[in-house]
Amino acid sequence: MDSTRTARLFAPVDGASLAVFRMAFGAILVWEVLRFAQMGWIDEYFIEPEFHFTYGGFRWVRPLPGWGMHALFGGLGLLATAIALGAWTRISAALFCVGFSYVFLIEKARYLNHFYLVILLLGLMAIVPAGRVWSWDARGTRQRTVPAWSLFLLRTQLGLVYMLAAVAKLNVDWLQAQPLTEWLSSRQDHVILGSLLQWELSPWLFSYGGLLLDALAWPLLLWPNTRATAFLFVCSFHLLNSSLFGIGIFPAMMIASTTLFLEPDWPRRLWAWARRRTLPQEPTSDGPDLPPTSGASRRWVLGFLIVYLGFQALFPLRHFLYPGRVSWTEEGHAFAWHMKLRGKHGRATFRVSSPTSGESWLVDPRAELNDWQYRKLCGRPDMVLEYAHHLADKMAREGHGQVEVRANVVASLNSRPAQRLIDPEVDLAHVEWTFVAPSPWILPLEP
Amino acid sequence: MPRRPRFDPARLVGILVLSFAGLAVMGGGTCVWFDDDDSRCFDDDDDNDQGCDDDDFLTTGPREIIPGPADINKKLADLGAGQAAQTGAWSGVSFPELKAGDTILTEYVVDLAQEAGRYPVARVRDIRHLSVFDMTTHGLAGSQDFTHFSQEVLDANPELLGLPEAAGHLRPRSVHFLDDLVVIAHEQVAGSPQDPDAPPIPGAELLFVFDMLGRLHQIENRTVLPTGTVVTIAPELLKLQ
Repeated sequence: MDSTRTARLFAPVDGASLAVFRMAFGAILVWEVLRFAQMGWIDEYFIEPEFHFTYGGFRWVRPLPGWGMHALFGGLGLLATAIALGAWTRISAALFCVGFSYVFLIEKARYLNHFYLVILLLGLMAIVPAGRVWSWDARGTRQRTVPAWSLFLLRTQLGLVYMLAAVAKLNVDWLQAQPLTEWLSSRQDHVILGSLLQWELSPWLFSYGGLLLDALAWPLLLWPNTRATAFLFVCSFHLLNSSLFGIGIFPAMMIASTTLFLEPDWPRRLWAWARRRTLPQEPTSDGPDLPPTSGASRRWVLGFLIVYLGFQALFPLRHFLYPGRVSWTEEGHAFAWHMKLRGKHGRATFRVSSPTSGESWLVDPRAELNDWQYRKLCGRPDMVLEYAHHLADKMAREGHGQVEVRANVVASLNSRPAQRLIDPEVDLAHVEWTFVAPSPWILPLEP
Repeated sequence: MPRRPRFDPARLVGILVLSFAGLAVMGGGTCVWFDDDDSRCFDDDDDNDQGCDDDDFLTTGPREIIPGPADINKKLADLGAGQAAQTGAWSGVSFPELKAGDTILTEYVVDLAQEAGRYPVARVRDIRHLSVFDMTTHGLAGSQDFTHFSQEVLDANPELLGLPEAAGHLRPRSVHFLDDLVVIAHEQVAGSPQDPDAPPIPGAELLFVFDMLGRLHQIENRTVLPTGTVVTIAPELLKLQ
């Protein structure tokens, strides 16, 4: 990176758009916390389940007692409010990030890409000076600029989400309008879009439109000539998603995030326009309020940008290293912006046998799992393996010694006929999940 | 000198207002608002399995994941079931007056299969909604649970599955856990139930076939009756006591 570009990264730019994003993001997080409380999800997802699916490396994460989880969400609500107000912004964002990550790690069956994005954005908000403008932290000051790398970092993170979501859509199913054909046919009773969804070409239009939008959103939002049009399309896309699918705060969060691609001073311009005034010609590119960044700090920031963004660009592509269809094997599916790419239904039971006593059992996991956990289990080999280990441990605790556990899991992917997902002959109790090597006990998808 | 905005704020305001108006209109009744307690609206951007009713997904589509009759027959043959019936030792048997393809209240189908080299087998198949897990609350079903479940079905359906006194009685024999089936075999025993030493009739048995989900999938009636016996079965619903 040459010195001119480096200088541009550290040049001051108007912090108004970042401030507005911070307020909107904080408000959306407040909204999300309220939804968890109002919908009863704190109890349903974290307190009531007898068993929690966890992430590899984080098996030790366990939920707090009931009152503790409610108190945690109360604290998250306060922190989100602080973020919106810009009060102790970095600390608030960091604490929310830690608290929300903890909640995220408790239950793998509740994995959502947008929760992962929330965590990433919160981490970045703890790094960028999002509280320098229009905030409680900046009260009594005339601060109005932030270093350009702040916006660059957030924009690149968001751009990568769009771009990698497009890469994820480059698969046979999506290009054949699946799973949207299945999903949209079930939404033909939609009050406004119902007649459109009855059109047989609609799934194709939505599939290829979504792919194009994901692929082009980033460059078109960066290019001033297409920015407004791209913004309109992106907003429409997210509104459409919001209307058709239950994806919670994701559309609002992405619309708010997309405003970061507008001119950094757009809120001031809007405010001036609303007051029928023109902006004073006050340069924002060399505002005096931003202290110069030292050489060492610059190197740290540059190093962080390269490492972080490099990881974010490459890690989601790891599924190309695994054989088979990622939507089927799930190897490399998570943390990779594979969103709305698969409709997967399945059924699962387990066969447990004791080599010592010769006794066998058929196990229905629905007796122990909630419906939403069970639905995820039926399509996620890693969760099948974790549950098999859980059964082996449970039977050992009940005095049956070391047992063998085999899984009867059949699933249907994107309207395909149901087929076996897991090799029924493999004793999963004695199989360990590998993070890097493919799992031979996952059966290949038949076309 | 004041400079003019480089873009049209009215357009931006218009977009935002229209966008959020659209959100309000289109999102009404879906999952946008936090006061919507529609349980099918759990957030999910990962896939779209909300509220999916997939109870019957295994029985739809061209490829049956549950073994078909041929597969089941092969597995039963592998278990040694019904071998003696091929010997023709029990001739002149009259089976229940059921026709192939009879459908009884859509819950199950009875066919009377005449297989090559065998005597007819009364086969009750496509049974739905009867699962061994209906009787267990802890989601764990061992041999005793399957045997008990089968006995309940036998007791509840004497006209369909029971034997006339002259034909002996049924005695639980074995439970097999296969990779995609659980097979419970009851052997036919000549003589009264009070006689513990009554010998089994070779190859004469009643098989309960459960699928991998613990659902009673098929019953194979390979029992045999004395020559001249005619049993009429009322087309009643197969039931669980």
